[in-house]
Amino acid sequence: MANFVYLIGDKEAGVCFVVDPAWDIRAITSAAQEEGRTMRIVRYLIISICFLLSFVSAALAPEANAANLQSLRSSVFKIIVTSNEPSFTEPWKRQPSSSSNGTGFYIGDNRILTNAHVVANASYIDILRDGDAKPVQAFVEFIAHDSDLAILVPSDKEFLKKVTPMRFGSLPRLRSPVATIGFPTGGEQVSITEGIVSRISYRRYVHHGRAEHLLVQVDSAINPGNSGGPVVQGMRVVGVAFQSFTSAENTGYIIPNPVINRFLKDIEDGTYDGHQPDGISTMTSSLVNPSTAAYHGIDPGAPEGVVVTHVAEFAPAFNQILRSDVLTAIDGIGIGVDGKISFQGERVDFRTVYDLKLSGETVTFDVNRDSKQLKISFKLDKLKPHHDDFNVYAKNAKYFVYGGLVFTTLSRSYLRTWGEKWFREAPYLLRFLDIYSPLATDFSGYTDFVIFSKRLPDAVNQHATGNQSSIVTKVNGKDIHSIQSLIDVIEGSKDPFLIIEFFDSNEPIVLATEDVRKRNQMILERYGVSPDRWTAGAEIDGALTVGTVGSSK
Amino acid sequence: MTLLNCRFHLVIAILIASYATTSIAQKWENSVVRIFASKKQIDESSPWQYEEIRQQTYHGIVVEGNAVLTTAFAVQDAVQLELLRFGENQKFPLTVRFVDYESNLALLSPEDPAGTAGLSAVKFVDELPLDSTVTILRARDNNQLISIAATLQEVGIHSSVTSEYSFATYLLKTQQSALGWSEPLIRSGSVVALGSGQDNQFFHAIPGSIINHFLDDYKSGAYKGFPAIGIQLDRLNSPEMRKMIGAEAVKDGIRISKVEPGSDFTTLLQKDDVLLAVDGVRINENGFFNHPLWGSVHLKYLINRRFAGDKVKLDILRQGKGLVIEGQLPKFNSNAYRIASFRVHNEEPHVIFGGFVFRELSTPFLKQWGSDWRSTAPYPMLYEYSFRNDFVVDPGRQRIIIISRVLADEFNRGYDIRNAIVTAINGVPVQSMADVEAALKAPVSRGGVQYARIVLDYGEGEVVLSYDKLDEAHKRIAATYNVPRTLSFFAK
Repeated sequence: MANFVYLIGDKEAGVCFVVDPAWDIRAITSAAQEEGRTMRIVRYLIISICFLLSFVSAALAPEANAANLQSLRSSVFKIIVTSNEPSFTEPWKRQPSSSSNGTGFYIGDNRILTNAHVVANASYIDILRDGDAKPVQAFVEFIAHDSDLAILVPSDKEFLKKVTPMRFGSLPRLRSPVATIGFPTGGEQVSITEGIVSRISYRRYVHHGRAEHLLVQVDSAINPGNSGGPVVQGMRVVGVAFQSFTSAENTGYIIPNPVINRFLKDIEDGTYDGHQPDGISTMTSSLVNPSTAAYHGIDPGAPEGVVVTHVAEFAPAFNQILRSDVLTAIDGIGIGVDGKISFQGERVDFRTVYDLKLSGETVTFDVNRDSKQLKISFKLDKLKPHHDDFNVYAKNAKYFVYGGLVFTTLSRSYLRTWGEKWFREAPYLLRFLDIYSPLATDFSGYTDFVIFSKRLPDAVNQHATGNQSSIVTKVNGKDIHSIQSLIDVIEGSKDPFLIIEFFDSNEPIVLATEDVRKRNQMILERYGVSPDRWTAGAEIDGALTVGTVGSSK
Repeated sequence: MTLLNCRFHLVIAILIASYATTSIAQKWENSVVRIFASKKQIDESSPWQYEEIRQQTYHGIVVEGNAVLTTAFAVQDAVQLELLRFGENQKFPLTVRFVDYESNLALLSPEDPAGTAGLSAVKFVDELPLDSTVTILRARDNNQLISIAATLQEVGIHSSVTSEYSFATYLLKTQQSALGWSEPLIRSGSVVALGSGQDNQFFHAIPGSIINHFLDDYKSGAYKGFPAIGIQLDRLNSPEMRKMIGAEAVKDGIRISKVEPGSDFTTLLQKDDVLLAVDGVRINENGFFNHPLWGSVHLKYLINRRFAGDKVKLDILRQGKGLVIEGQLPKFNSNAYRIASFRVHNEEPHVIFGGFVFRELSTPFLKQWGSDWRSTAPYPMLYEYSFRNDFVVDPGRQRIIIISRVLADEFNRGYDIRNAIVTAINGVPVQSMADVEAALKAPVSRGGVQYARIVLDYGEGEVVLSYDKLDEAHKRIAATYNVPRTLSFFAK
């Protein structure tokens, strides 16, 4: 259920009408003041819908017309990408390269903003201005896979000199018209699609596969090639087009400005730290129940807040927020029983506030614990969850090959090697771990799940035929909680045998340490495995970045 | 091993080609009968009621003592069983004399002795050589027996649809599909096996030796049942592993990777022991022995052939030292794991508290996710099934408790819980329906009000409800959801 409030005003007269201001007067006042209007509220309780619609379109349509958009065209670029993803089954190899294109736009400071997925694993990037014949090479300066944003810089510093940077507006309102500018498939020229904002919510970003952020749904299709294109309202950018919903027609999603602003602030210090997962699981709507509310010391007549069901051990909230706590407010903003807050005039998930904070910033929760009211503040730290429970866009998957045994780590990308129906066809234990490992007590301390993914046959490993796709738990009795710990234990072993134990079997792999050591190099050479390991994570991105060989900056 | 026992048997039966000859089959019409079963399966979503009655047709064969032998699968969930002789149209009601779900066998007898009067009892031939051609006897809808040719290809160790017990099973090749309805198998004038299912490769049948074991055991008057040693085994073909556990001196033997509690062998055997022989029969590194008729067969068959309570002698190698161990074989019980394999009385224990339906996690519950339930059931339940489904000495008290659903009512407003695993109620861990009832009787108190606090696993949260107005809620729920049994509801 959403409430609609309309502001109809005249800039010169400095007056506006508020239609049906039934709700959240403060937000309405500030919205009107943002528009530079003095407030004179006239309350119309009954107003004809027909009148309203025609009035709104008359007020907004002239600004969004094609003539104005024409002037924005010169700030929008086609991005042509050759990408080269690593292989997740044989991680020392790369998949065949592929080419694709997207859209980006100039935001000043020699920077073009686009989607991370447009340039992910890019080995070569060209940018082309609408109407130009010759593209210019570009490099990735920053890439944010969690919020699907990236900054490109052209190799030719003069290239963007005469281009007008596009300016950002605010969060678009529901029902307001927007225009998407981009280079979707089906033609060469720039295309402008108009649509209406139909929903503002907090949902999953598919490029990352796990992270949820604020997003805006628009009732116009976003097609391949549109990605990274500016979405404008009047002359201002209100978002970046980025994903669509394949099972529904004419549904596109855009990354709204609060998320873009957070990204731009995050990179101000020269590094991108990313969104910090809160790790707090909650149960919505249980406080609607009067006896549940009473138990938690919440007024059953005016229930608020959500009950905490679990706090992941990697989360900064761990030991601060406890299971069974009721979260009633975040940074002073009241949380409803549905887990939603009022945010710039819309009802969105309370996590929006947490999600938009930078690493090192503080968050404050109002908490009801055992019927007592507390304020709990803590800093957002950059911490690592159990494993890469998302799509990996690092230069390589983490891996280690020893004695012909290929070890890699669990990630969403690894699960995807089972094909499009991986969520049915991948071994269920891996699917279980991907989702539930932070919630189950059996997996405390893991920072990676090390998988025995493949055997490169040789005499020394001829009996290691079982346990494929299983999770390594111990080597020679020592816990394996990351790819690095596996390497350390194997390379440091002075025992006559390497005993590799697995989570889901009673059948260990046993290798003769000395025999493997002697033949290891030969096996690596025979199968063309080079290097024999990759332990870096997201810190070495898969895309061609500024500073890599061939870059001009 | 999932057998594709087709539910739509009646539909498919019409399609069966009639190329098979009737001449061999006709003379068996004096020993084989048709069994009509009316099945009443528990409605998994509402365990106080049953699904629509289904009719299924099976085969039975007359054995000594005026009895009819069929599979346990045929009688499972049946509320009415009837016998029909070939060439007749009067059906005789049957009573179940004895069922063993582990070996998938059942003995029935007609309420009226006339049901089997004049039919001749058969004896089963123990073991059939590999590559034998056999005849499958199958009833047609016109109430005639036909014969279908099949060849014995392999003897494998499989569990039946009714349990987790794995035993020697004939795997036969045949052109015919839609089999697996307790069809008798014939060779050279003798009965050799009973059909138990069909997958896309083989027709499965229970060998005569397993059937005779069951019949002899029953005849003895004190049924002992089928045993298992209670160990997990792991191939020993890696020379490195052999060296590590001190088994280099021999080339055969299989490694023991886990020993389960609850038997003599729990203390007699250890992980990493090498099992060299069972009752003097040598076991190779894959766990097989050489059977004179069947070739390589898993050692489990040596145990299948014994009775629970029998003594068995095991030759063991422990860190290079030879040992001879003797112990009593325990009876295998599929339901002695935290997740039970089958329901004995066709009843599902449950407790409804304020609309929350508490039950025990069981294999029949998981099977509601269809034939690929091992992949599609809720992940936490599959995880419990695979990794926490331990063998337990006191299974009745060590189950996994779930809330299968919430019967929505104003009392439980705000909660939409489905298939959640319960860890504790009112501060007490719960592992049986008795635990659930006891814990619910000891409320937690806060501010002078009594509450039930139910804690769920895997981040599913918690439920807190007051006991106030619980009885009224139960009355409403009973009426709205048509729960006829007062027994279903929690009562203080």
